[in-house]
Amino acid sequence: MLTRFLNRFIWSVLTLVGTAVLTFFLLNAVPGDIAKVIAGSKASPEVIQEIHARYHLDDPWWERLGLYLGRLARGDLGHSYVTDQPVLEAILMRLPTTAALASVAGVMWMVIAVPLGVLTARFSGSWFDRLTLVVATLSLSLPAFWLARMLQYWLSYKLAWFPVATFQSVRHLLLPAATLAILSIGYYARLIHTNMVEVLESPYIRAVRAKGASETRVLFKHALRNAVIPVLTILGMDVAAMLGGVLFIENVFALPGIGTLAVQSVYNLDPPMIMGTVLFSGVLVVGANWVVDLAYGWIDPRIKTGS
Amino acid sequence: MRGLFNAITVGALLLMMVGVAGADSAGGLSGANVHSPKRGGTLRLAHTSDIRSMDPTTIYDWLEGLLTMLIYNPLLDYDENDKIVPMLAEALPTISSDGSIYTFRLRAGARFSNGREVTAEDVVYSLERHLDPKFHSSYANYYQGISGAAAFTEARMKELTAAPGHQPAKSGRRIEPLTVTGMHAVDRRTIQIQLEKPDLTFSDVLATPYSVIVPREEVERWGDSFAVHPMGTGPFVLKDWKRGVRLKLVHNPISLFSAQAHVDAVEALTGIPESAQVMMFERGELDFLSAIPASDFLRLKRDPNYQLCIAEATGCNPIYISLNCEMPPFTNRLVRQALNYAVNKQQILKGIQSRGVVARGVLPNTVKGFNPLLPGYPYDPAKARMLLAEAGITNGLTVPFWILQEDQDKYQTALRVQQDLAAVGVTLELKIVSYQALLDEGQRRGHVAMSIWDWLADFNDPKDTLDFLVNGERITDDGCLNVAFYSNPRVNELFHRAAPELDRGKRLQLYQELERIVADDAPWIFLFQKNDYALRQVWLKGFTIRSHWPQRLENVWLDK
Repeated sequence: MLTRFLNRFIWSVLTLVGTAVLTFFLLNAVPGDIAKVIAGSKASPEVIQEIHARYHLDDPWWERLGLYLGRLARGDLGHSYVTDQPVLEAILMRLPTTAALASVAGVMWMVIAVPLGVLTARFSGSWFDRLTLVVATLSLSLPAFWLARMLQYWLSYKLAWFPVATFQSVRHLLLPAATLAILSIGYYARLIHTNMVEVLESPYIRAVRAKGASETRVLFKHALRNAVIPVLTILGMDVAAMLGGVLFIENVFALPGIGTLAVQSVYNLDPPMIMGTVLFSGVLVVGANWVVDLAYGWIDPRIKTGS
Repeated sequence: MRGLFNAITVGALLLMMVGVAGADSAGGLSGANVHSPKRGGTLRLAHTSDIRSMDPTTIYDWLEGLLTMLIYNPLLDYDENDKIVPMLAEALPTISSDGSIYTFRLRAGARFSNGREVTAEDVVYSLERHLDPKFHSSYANYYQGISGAAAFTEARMKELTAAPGHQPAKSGRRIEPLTVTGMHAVDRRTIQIQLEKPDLTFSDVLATPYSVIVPREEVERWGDSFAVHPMGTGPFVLKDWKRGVRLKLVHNPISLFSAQAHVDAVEALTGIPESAQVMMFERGELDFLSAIPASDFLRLKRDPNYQLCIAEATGCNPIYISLNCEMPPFTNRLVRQALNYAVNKQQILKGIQSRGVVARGVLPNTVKGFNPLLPGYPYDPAKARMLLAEAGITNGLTVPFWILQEDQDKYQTALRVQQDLAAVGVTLELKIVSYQALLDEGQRRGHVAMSIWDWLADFNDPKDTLDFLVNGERITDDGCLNVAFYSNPRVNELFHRAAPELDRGKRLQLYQELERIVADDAPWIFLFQKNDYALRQVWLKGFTIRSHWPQRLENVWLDK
């Protein structure tokens, strides 16, 4: 167990260092002089020279990489070249919004995708199952950006059911979270459906039914628990893709989260902020996989004991 | 019968005029109103990106400029007719007979929002900051004409270079001169500024948002963070700023200008995409839109609810294609002229909903000294072909053309230019690059033959555009704003004569003469100048739009 944990930890650290180094090189390869962007088109040569010196822009790449990794090791993501705000502070300030968006979307996802997957498996082949399949396929095909814009236009702008943009209360999160949830509900409902159909045919379910357990108990207590394990694996891997959805949705609805920070930093051509947001996304993906690992053990104790 | 028809027509026209006048007074074209201003309320506006800085040395875009003028004050200001008027100065400056010494007297009782009285030393300090590279001012160029500016900058640069990490300690070795010798406080309220050479635009420079007065102790207290802890003498003070989300200013009762501000607070939401801004505006969640996105422009312009609320100004924002005069084929003037004739500028403007005016030369028509007699380059592909043939180009021409994709208007324009030039045998290979790459490569000598740019003048004088963009003596190997690398000895000589000229009429004539030569030399494809638009709610009164720093919100009020 300890070896497995250590292996996992080492791989996680290597993944994050790899992400940091790769992002550094990618930004390094972008043509142009960042000092001119920071200083503005009317700046004097002295100011541009001073910005070069302040941010070590003329140092060789290995020295800058060493400086960056050294700072990272101390938990310092540096300062934005554009706003001078500490990168970590900017990320932490925006984290609650992204977390709130993901939480509300997660609740919507669970409340809809799980029962939908279970019930379509129970009534497999019925019109309800087929209709769900069509709707699921549709939701899978929708681009996040388009869906967000459409829902915003019709439900917020035309019908005024929701606020158009920004984040001032939970009400402002409902539509963005619903958009995020819609994008994944179809896929996960079908995934749960497929696993449930398989589990419902297993001998132990027949045994439970023979013992006289109620159908609700059979479905949600005995079958779902086993059917959900492969779903968790996919969910862990999907966190990165979901972050992509968050990025689009936050930007359409102007939610001040990590996604808008990432996009703004690209528009501002602000390397420390770009590197910070990419690395932080890496931390989220690695963290999500740790959580999925822990959840395995909780759902199926055999994994925890290694039996 | 015809007489009756005429009478009806005239009557109808009169009624329409009365109607328009009525509409104006009830909520008008300019937002100006015959009713007295109402006090109170929060003015709500939004911006697509974050606010980077509220330090006048590093403000960057229109919102930062607009908020700067709410928090701080410069010595001088522009009125609604682009005329310079005193602001923190009690009167316009006294200028010595040779035009090189400016003397200002501060208004009595002007205080920063921390309660301290503004002194002449604060003025000296505020302008000096632009010349100290430590503050990364983007506008040092404007103050380099002050006597002793170059020596001061050089000394500060040496100090910075000598200090470890470019962070000079307070106790570090100081290098003379410690101040700009041409600026000094004569007494507590009098400032004298000596220029190296006479320059009539110095008053204009002192009316920009960069020249606002800051309190030294606050700058020193916050260091680099002064950018997020602004403090000035203006009618508003910063109440709350959540970076990337919103910034709120509230009324500053101790400001000398407090009575002119009518709203209690100004709230700027940041990071709101343009499309969302329009929806929020139409839902009544914003009082003001600083720009109208191209996708909504025609719809809003035709909407009877908003027609009268759109404010329009002919801007000072030329869009042009630079033709690098040091790189073939543009070393040949005939080729440059041919390309100007080959581009249908009127058609290009239509493609961007006619939101601009076709350019005849370098200067926008809102700038003093604009020459309406410049012939321009009318669309004439036959003449373009003839000029190309005369230049010896008979088998066509292929040129790389650097463009930015993120600016949709410029991108669309570039595509149309590509089509027009293809019709005369010039093939443009589009090179779509980032702003960073365009700045770096385009401003470097001998790197980019053809690229699309724009320019935003900070004040209403031909010098602010011509001197930066077509003065051959400003050409540098790197970071050169004269991206066409255009130099004509006659033009350069005219710059020398025009800059120190004290006779305003003669000075403008010199600039007109040099612009005429530049237009004939065609270092650019002169495209168009963009108009500025703003949209206000019917209840937002007192708003006017200007050609330079077009939007000001100090004096607006909410009539809900």
